[in-house]
Formats: sequence, C-alpha cells, structure tokens
Amino acid sequence: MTVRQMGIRERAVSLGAILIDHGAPGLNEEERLEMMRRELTSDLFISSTNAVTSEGTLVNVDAYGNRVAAMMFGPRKVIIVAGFNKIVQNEKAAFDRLEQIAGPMNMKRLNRETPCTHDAVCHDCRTVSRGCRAYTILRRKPSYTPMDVLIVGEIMGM
Amino acid sequence: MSDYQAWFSKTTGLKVVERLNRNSFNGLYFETAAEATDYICGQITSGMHVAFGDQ
Repeated sequence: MTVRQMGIRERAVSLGAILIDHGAPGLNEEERLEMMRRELTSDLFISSTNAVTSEGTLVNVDAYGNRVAAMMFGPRKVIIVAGFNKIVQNEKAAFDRLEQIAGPMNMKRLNRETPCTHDAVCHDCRTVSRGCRAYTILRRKPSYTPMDVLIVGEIMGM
Repeated sequence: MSDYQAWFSKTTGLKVVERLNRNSFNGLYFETAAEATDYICGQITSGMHVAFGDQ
C-alpha cells in the first residue's frame, strides 16, 4: 500500500476537489514541472515520508526537491502519511533507512540507471540519474504550515 | 496482522504520535490505511486544490 494506492485521488475528485498531480499520466516534462510548481501553493498537500523517528522527527530525501519543499512551506495544509515500517529509532537510523532501503527501492521503482538498482546497495553515486539529492529533517513543525502526521499501523510504501 | 503485531504497532505508533505532538506536529494514529484515507478525505472540500508529493 502506498499513498497513491489509498484511493484519495478518486475520492477527492468525487468531493469536487481540483487535483494538482505531477504524477498524472500523459504529462510531458514541462507540464510535469509546472505541476510541481503549482503543488507548492496548493490548499492541501498530501505526501508520504521516508522515515519518522521515535523522537518525533521527519527525515526525507528527494530528487527534485518539490516534495520536501512543499512539506515545509507553501501549501495551506500538509498531511504526511507514514506506515508503521517507516518508524526508526533516531535520525542516524533514519538516514540509514534512506540509504539502504528507500533509495535503492525508489530508484528501482522509477527505473533509474543507478548502481543501487543493480545490487540494492547505496554507492553514494555521482550518476546523472541519482535520485537522492535533497535531504531534509523536520525536527519541529514549520511555523506557518499546519501539518498532520498520520501514523498507520500497516506497512506502507518503501 | 496478528493480535500481538497489532498491539506492537499501536503501542509504538502512539508513542511516536506523542513525540510528534511534543514537536508541534498534529500526530494521529490510525490502525488501517482505510481509516487514514477517511480522515484525509474528511479534510477535502469542493473546489479545494489538492496536491500529492508522491508519483
């Protein structure tokens, strides 16, 4: 189960919402980038997180920075969803999780040509295809961003 | 999920929620993704611009 598979998009449309979705099929590269820009000023931004620590902080890695940027400032409200599998002890364990699990699995999912997609091990690569570029830690809620963090007692995402 | 797995995930999850709230987030715990979906959709109103971070 992922955020995309939760069926939120379909229900949002039925509720009369206007979707801003850079992952929508059929978009060319420029259209996709424009969607990412518009997402920064949405009314509601919904996203997963790569890790949640037992200390109550959120740790993420992003390729373009659009996802982590929108988590911090821009949208009028942010909802973060994290499966039970995203919980780690501390920030060091969170970065280990990003490097050892989330990174390689995401690169494989996106069909990126990176070393980790061959052996499931992070090489801290310098490839053009590298997806692990922007790293963020939210130790407190950003001041002007109302933010719900939903912990779900199921395995969700990578 | 077995009873002891559900107990473990809920006990751990609620502790994380408590820490999140201490850090000024609005932490919430849901046993299932379906319950979380209902909560999220309860925040959505007609005409609202809704965006997603995940591809």
